Amino acid sequence: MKEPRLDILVIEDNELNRYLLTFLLEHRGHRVRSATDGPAGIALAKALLPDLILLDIQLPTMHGYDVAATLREVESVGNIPIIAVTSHAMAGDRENALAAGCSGYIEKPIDPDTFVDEVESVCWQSPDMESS
Amino acid sequence: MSTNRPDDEQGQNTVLPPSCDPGRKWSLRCRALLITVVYAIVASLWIYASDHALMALAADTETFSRWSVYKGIGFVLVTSLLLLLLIWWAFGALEKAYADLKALNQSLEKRVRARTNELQSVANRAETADQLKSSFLATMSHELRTPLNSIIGFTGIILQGMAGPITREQTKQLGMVRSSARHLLDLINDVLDISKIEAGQLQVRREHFDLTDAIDQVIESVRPLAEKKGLSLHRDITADLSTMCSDRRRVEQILLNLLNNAIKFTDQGSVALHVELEPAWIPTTAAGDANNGASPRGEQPVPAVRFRVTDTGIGIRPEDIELLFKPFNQVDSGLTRQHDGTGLGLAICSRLTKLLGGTIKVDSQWSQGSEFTVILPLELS
Repeated sequence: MKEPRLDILVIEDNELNRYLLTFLLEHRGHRVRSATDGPAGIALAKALLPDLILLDIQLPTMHGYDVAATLREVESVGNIPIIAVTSHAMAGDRENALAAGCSGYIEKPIDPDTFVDEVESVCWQSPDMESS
Repeated sequence: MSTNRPDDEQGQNTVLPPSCDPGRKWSLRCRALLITVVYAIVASLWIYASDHALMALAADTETFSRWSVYKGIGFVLVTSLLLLLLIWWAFGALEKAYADLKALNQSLEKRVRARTNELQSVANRAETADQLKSSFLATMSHELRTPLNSIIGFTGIILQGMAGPITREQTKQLGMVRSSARHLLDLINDVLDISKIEAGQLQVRREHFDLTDAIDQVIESVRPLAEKKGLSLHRDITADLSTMCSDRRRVEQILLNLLNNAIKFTDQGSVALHVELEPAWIPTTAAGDANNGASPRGEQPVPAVRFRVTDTGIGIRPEDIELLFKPFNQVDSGLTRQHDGTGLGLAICSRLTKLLGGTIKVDSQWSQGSEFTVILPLELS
């Protein structure tokens, strides 16, 4: 692992998916913490200030887009890149995710061969995206 | 709807009340003529007879003329009374006709209102059903993909050896699990796509993109498949392609489907994608089913691009060509086992082509090969 290790927060309600994402990311040496719903995720993001947030869009109490919009408004976590992970895949989902303040968008089912690369590329790119 | 038919016919019979029946007009006129004739005869006879009687009875001319005046006044009075009765009767008939018409009008209005309500409720029901369908689609999409996410994800993890070493046999079998899961995912995606198109919910995006870039990407993604079957895959671009303004994802989806099909049904030889420009293409309403077709444009010629996907595969029998673009119709069910696939690819292609304002057609000779031609306007309107 030449790349610096990332602190990643996974907000995902489905236990199997949470385990899958955590496993893949930890396998590459990243540190993963997770939350199961929006409010817990926001609280954890504020407390941990992670390098990256992976956000499921279909969450039980609070919709993923609202979570993203809320996070964007908090000064301390407002610049942390958020990647939306969604199985919704309906028309306009990508636009909605980006409009809500996400930096990237990954469609479920994820491809385990390329998933971590996609996540990392969003994270390494994001400083340029923020400055623009 | 058909149950309303007899009701309607009954309605036709009761539309005009008897008082307003046009057939009655003549019977009324005949009666008027009869009354006039009878009146003329009776009155003439009366005048004639009464004058004679008066002449015989009256002693002198003076008496006669006095009695004659009284008789005249009496006659006028009696006929006035008769006239009054007649007018009374005629007005009564008119009033009745008017009242009947008014009642009819009201009942018609009521019937129209009832029908309108009925139609409204049918329309409402259809709209509710449509909304149910779309929320069902969204839910299904989510619910089906979530477990697939785990299946494909964990299979990949184990196959990559991230969870520890596995034997060759396990690798082979897990590979089967993964390809089955991917096939299932393709099926779900295709069914969702076609449902969305049928429900009119598939929105096409308008974006400028580099056409050559899109074509290369499609070719590269099918190349492994062609190489695996030992087929040569050609890309033949004769024109200077610039940018296209359409839905890139859908254009790629069409080409991908056609190329995948060509490779799937070709066992030896080659598969090629030819791309030509058509500077003045006249959009025609495509043959085949016109569901969800792009709105028929005028005859204005537009710049377009023509994609031809040719193969040297098994071809299509003439009688099967018509079935080709219908959903779930993989021609010859005997082949289904041999050539896996959803049977939805061409149905989706044909609908997407129409959504993008283009046409699709196929030329094929059994056992010689097929040629699918898609023409898309360069600028999606």
